[in-house]
Amino acid sequence: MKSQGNYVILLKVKERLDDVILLITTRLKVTKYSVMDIWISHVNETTGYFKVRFWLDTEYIDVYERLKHGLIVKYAYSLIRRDMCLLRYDNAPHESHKNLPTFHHHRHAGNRVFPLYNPSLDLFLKECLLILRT
Amino acid sequence: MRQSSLVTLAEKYLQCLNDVLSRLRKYEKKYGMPTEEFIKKWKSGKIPEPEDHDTLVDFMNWEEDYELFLEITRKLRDIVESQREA
Repeated sequence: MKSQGNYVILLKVKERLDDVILLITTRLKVTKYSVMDIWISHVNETTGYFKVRFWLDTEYIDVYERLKHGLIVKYAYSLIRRDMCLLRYDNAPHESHKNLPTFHHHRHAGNRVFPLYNPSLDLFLKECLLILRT
Repeated sequence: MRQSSLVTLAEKYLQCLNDVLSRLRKYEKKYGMPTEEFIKKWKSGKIPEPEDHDTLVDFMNWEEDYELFLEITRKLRDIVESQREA
């Protein structure tokens, strides 16, 4: 969802996918990317989902977003190195995270789960950059 | 709404329903349980949150597809009922 002044722009699935690809390929050294799956509702272009993989040097980033009537209702962003998830942001409404103040939004780092304030792909990429630099 | 637009809309809902049902069947086969059972277990936390990204995404999509299935069937029922009343 984008906000312009008092107006909220409802996202179209394909446009959001293009935005995600542009954002990640300009922020990180992406060697290749592939849209693994995309589905857009026949009823309206603002409902659907996509899965994309972005390859970096020795890691890859998996992005999933599900949109409903122009809003991102589900997301999972993962940074993976050698089959190990280094970082994940997601909003799976899992019972085990119910005590987190930001439920459903949470952040996995290593084997631990943390609250996730102001979740966004932008924030996830910033944290990825910090991890990749170390 | 005009009859022709209503038919077009119903056709779009049916195409959408076909896609959603096909994904629900795929998940049921892959994870070996009916959708209703998955939804109950997933929502109550009886299924642990998967560590694997792809499995997590399947579960999140499965849940959303079930919601969409309910929404579409409701809309189609509304269309049929509006035609009965007309």
